[in-house]
Amino acid sequence: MTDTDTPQPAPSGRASTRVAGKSLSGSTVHVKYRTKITSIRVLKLTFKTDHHVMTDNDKDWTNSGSLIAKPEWTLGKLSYAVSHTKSQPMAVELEFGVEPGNADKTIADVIGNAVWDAGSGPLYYLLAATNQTFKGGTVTVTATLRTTPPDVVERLLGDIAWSVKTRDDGPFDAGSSTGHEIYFTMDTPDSAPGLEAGITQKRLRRSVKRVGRANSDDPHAIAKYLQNLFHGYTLKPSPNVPKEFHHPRYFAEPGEVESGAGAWAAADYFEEAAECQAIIRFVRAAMLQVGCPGEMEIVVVWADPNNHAKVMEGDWDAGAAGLGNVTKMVNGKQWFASLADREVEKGDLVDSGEVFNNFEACLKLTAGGKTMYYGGGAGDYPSKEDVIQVFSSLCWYSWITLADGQRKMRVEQVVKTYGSD
Amino acid sequence: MRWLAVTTTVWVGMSGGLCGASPDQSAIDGRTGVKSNGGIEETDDLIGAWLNMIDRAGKAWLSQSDLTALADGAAVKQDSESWCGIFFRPEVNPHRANPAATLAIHHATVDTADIIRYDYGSTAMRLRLYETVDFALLRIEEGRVDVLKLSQDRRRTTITELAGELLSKPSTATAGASPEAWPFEFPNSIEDGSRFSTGASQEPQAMPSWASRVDGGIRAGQLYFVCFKRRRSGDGRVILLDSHHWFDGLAWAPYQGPKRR
Repeated sequence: MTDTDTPQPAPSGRASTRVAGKSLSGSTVHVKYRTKITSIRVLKLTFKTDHHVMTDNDKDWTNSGSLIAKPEWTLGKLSYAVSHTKSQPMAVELEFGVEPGNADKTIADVIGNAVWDAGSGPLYYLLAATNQTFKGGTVTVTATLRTTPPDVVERLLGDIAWSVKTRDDGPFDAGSSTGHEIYFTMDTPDSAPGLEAGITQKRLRRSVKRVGRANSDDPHAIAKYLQNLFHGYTLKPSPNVPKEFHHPRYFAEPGEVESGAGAWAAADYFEEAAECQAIIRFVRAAMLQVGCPGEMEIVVVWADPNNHAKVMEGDWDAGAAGLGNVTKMVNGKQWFASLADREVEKGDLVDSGEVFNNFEACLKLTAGGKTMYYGGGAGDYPSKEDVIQVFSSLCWYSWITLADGQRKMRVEQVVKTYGSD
Repeated sequence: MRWLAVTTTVWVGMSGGLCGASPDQSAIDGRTGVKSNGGIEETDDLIGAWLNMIDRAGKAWLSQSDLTALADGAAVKQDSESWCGIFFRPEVNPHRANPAATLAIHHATVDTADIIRYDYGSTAMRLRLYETVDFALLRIEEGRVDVLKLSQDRRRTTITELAGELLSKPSTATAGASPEAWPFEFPNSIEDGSRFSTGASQEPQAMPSWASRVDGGIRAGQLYFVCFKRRRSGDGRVILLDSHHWFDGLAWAPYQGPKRR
């Protein structure tokens, strides 16, 4: 402050400001030299509209790791990944370092030019926060996406170049937040039940990639697309799949140890095919992981030989085994109930081959007012009554041993024949 | 052995005249894998039939350095390693034997299956393992104990102890509470030719787990144990593999494809 009418040269980095005091007519003039901002640097970035449900396990398929920490980006480090619902507003909280620490406040607009890439060339997005107050020290502002958010399921990678245009101290290049990895999903990711439970970075990234390539918002189209990724079905374990994953079942039998990956591991071995139930477990898990709408359930469908061949449906996750435990003793011989793929008659001996089944496993998907049963390589059907029609008959059989040591199955009774109504 | 509902038990010397399953027979009436019951010789003695089948392999064994030389060798090797790892204690697993097990194979004939044979063990206990797509039969060729020279009570105890030394623990093989020792049901008198089982009423192809039933017996003075490869499909399919086509992989052909139906 000074009492002369002649302003003193402003020290470097300072600007004079007329303050309350006497006028030029001899009165005292109070001048405060404004401390200018000389540097603004973005220090931290925190996503505010992401889901924050994903763990940081990116190295294997297990449901492990820690919930990804916030802030997602800190100066000098790459950004952590986030998931975000597509077509929804995006907001990020930014922390700027403003120097000098005693710089006076000013109003500023923050601009973030994002150059993100989904693998097919750069995409440009704009984030902004206007009329923000900046002053020396740490300044926190919230910027929002001002361009149209991505409307597809995809993974975007890239940086955001930040600039701050102050009203009093000019524009500043505030540096860049780098290495952002954003998974745009259909909605908030959901965890599958059972062995596929958990939302991890590796699972979400792969799910986004696969579901995105379905190029559809229709859950039924997505389910079909995903199950067709598998190169067929198989019951034969493949030496090309690490034993720990228990291909082609993708679950452990008694005496074995679960891998912790469930059917997620199948994502690396589509060419090795899998059991139908494993295929549809993967389909369900991937759809839920990207927040795909719809009710999804793994069900088994069978017919009850003790109740007029009534078509039944059970929850695979709850252990429903269809005809797996349906037996009876007849004249000292144990009979097993089964659904036959092929036409059989009483007395037939069944060789090795695809004949007898305890159930048909399906992904039961209800979405958009439509319910379908997806057989994971065994066809798609509108109802359980249609599913049962894939079989030829419901019958009872017994096991026999031939004198040369071979095992056979003998058809003891045909309860119901399908497909001839 | 049952021939048109007449049952007789045959232990050894069975040969010829059996109606094996030939591929052409299985296509009768155009129904894949299904054939009528004409002239099929049945038996209620599963273990006896397998023992006799091994006998019929006779001297038709080929020394092999590695299973991968087989047409479907990688899968056969994986299958053998997987089941041996499940059935046997690590020190009894032929795939972990040191010195390495001597390997020989028998290619299926009209009345024998594809069979693998491993000879291994220490001087204290020489072992021989016969393995097919259906079972693994572990026989003690030379052991520190001659069971038949023991008292009847000691025979039971010793057999149970040996099972514990050779086989995986039941408690690690089955879910839920299980006994520490294999609960064999022994005949009143254990002699040469005796057989015993932990679950004789269990159908090997349909029981809950391989550990639901382990069989054993004494034959020609040698103690053996039989473990069943209980294969389960999460798809609810009943798996019956053609034991004559393990080595070439055709046993699995009906259970894989671009589409299930």
